[in-house]
Amino acid sequence: MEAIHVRLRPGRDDDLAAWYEAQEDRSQAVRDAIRAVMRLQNGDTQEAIVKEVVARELARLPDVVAATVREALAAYRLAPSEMEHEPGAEDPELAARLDAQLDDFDFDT
Amino acid sequence: MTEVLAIDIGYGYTKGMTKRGQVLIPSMVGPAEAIRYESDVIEANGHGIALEVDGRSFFVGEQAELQSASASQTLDITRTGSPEQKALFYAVCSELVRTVDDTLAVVTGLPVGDFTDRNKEALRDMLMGEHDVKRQGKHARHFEVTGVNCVPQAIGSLFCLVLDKRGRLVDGDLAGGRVGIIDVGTLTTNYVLCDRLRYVEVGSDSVTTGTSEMLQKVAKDLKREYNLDWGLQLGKVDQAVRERKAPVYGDMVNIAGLVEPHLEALADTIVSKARTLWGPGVELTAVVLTGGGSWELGPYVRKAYPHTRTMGGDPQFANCAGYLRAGLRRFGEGV
Repeated sequence: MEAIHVRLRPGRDDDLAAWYEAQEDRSQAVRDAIRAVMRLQNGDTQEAIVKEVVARELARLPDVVAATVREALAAYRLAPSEMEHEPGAEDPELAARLDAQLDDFDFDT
Repeated sequence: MTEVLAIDIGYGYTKGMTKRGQVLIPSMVGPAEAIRYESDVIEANGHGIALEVDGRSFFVGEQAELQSASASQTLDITRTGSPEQKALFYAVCSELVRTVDDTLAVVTGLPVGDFTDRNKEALRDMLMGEHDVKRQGKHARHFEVTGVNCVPQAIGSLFCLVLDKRGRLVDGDLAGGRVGIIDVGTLTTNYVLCDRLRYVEVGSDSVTTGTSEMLQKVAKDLKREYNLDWGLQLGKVDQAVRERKAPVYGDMVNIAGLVEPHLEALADTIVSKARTLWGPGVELTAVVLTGGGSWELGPYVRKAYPHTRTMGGDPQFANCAGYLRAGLRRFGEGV
């Protein structure tokens, strides 16, 4: 197989250089880019290519969501309450039970 | 204005907290008949706490371990209302109470097994009234404790979860349910059952099982397997257990296989007591696992109680944080 060498020119191809640097799998990224251009030249519309990419990402979505949820629930940790609610947000019945319990624990009542 | 001080006196550590800060002091107290060198009690030389309680001098924390011939870490510390316990209270006050504070409300806890009228009376006698805190190297504090609220120890963690920082009730689901709390400490484990925020005494108890027993067994194995002599340095063992690694001849050795059976045995003991109190726990909204010893036990306890929840943040401070929130609610600064 032939190798393709491309020389990027400083100044004129900086955008390409930046994009290339950012790719995780550079060889695959270049192949995908060339194929996308080939498909456009062969009559595919940009919209069709975007649709295909979106469909591919959507197919991955359940796995991504599942992994994220699994990670979040892994430790089942409850954080101490950090919120401060506006007055009136308490359940009055529970608040009364709590205050009665604290009164019971008190020494000077 | 009355300040609220939360204090949680445990076998291993004493935790204190106000709205402005928190402190953790090893629960070691020893008599200080004579301070040998002034430099020994300078804070920069190792957290020296030397103070006076009712005319007697004590070293507290690391200083007690270094200086006192008869430092006590266990029985005297937990003898409710003892001078040693008062020394811990004063040590916390010397860190957290400001010289301008003249009245104080204190929220504290007793182990469930000691939550008796007699102990509550002894604690009240120790805490209520006028106090002069004289600590070497610090300005004296004079204040009056005008209110004391004493709760069963583990319930603080529930308060920490259902109350916000001002003491306002924010978690209706947990607050409105039946919740079992397991508080694993150094020497004891406390079990508290709450039904819609009311303490249920028949579902609550204490056992003398804690992390120190497990750490001692691990220390024994480390000595046998690697000749690491850490029997008197349980802090190092604790660290090694958490990291599952120990330094041996310059290399970090994986000790997971050595640790797991001991953790499992501790969890078994803790869970079997929970089962006698709460059965399979089907009717519980959640089991809350808390305390300084709860770090490693979540996965094991969860096998018996799948709805087990561990505390975020530092579980060692969870009870104390809950006391403070309850105190701010009860004594009027919060809600």
